[in-house]
Parts: sequence; C-alpha cells; structure tokens
Amino acid sequence: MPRATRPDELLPLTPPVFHLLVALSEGERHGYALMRQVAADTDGALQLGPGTLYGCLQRMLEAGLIAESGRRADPLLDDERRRYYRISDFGTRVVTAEAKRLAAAVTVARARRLLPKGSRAS
Amino acid sequence: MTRVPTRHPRLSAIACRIYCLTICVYPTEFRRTFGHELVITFRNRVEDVLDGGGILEWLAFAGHIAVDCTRTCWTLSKELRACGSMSLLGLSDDSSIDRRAAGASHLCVAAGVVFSAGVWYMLIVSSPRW
Repeated sequence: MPRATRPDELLPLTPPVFHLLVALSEGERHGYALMRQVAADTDGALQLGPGTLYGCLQRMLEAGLIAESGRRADPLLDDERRRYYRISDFGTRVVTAEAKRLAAAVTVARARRLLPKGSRAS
Repeated sequence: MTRVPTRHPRLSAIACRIYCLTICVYPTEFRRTFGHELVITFRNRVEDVLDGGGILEWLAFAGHIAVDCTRTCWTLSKELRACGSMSLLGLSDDSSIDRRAAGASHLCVAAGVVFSAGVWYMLIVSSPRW
C-alpha cells in the first residue's frame, strides 16, 4: 500500500507525534533532546519514555514525516553513533494542518466561553 | 554541548544493564534498529534523574520506565499482529504471524516486567544514597 500523500489523511495526530513534530520544526535533534524539548514545551505534562519515543519515531519515519539527518555527534562530546532526525516537507505540512485543526477547536471553545480570551488552554 | 559526567557512574551502569535486559522483550526488528539509541537515551535520562532528583523522582522514573516498556511492547506486538510488520501500512498479511510465538513473547513480557520491577526495587534498597 502507498503511504499517505495528503496531510489530512494522517489527522488527527496523537499528542506525542504532534509534539515531536513541533520540536523538530525548530531544527535537527537526537532522541534525548527531543524528549527534553517535548517535556519543556508541555510544562512536563507529556513525558515520553524511550520506548514510546522511538516507537513514534519509527512510525514517523515510515510515514515520511521525518527523516534521518546525516549529522553525527562529535565523538569527543557525545556518542557518535547517536542519530539525528529532521522534519520533512510533508511532516511540516502535516503538523501545520494539525495545528490549524487544534486552533479551530480552541476558537470554538472560546466562542462557547469554555476558555477566557487570551488565556492558555491549561 | 558536552554532558557533565554523572556523580553516580556505578548506579547508572547498573540501571543501563537492567534496561538492556528489559528491552529484550521488544520485537527484534525494533531492537535492531533502535536498541543502541534506546540505551543511550535511557542512560542520559537516568543520569539526569540520579544527579538532580531525590528518592521520589527516582521511584517515579522507575515506574515510568516500567510502564513505558510494557506499553511499548504491547503496542509493537499489536502492530505486528495487525499488519505483520512494524509499518503503519503493513506489507505482509496476518496469516504469516506465528500465534504460538506471539503468545510466548507475551509470557516473556510479563516475566520481564516482574523481573525488572524486582531488580529496580533491589537496586533502590541497596543504593548507598538512600
């Protein structure tokens, strides 16, 4: 079977996949940096374990949302076998579509007065 | 950026060895592709917890890892059963799955979880820090 070609075919994304793509939108990262970035972005609400993290990365690689970067860690500073990942163009389109979908949901919640105007959705 | 060496290298090494045993319950293909990275990431995380946290953080971390291993193993086995490969879009049909091997792997998962919980407990109890 061919992989998805339109972003909406993959929506809605799971929270880990969404936050991983958001973290990767800032630049290439290795697994542990991604884990820390996701925890920081969500104020610690989403703590990914190694198994969950690499399970998601594998699915994202297969779906073409991310790709392995050619970058390698400096052997003097870190393990050189460590892999870095980058978001693909398709991944950027998918995360943008998901962000728009979530923003639309927040707009509706605000209109129903479930969220005060200008507040964070926490 | 370089990482500061941990203040608990021995404890970190023991935890990594236990984790290496724990990830044996993951499907072979997944372990072959990500095994090394799983261990590096675990080691970084365990060093941060050991250096920066107390007993509660350590216990929370051990619990989190146990849940993560169980959930990952369950999810990967389910995907394997559903599509015969690790792919979201599975390339082989369900008939190629050996049911008895899948049942045995679930038994190994359960034994692994019980074993790792016991070892984690002994590790915490025998740690000189607490």
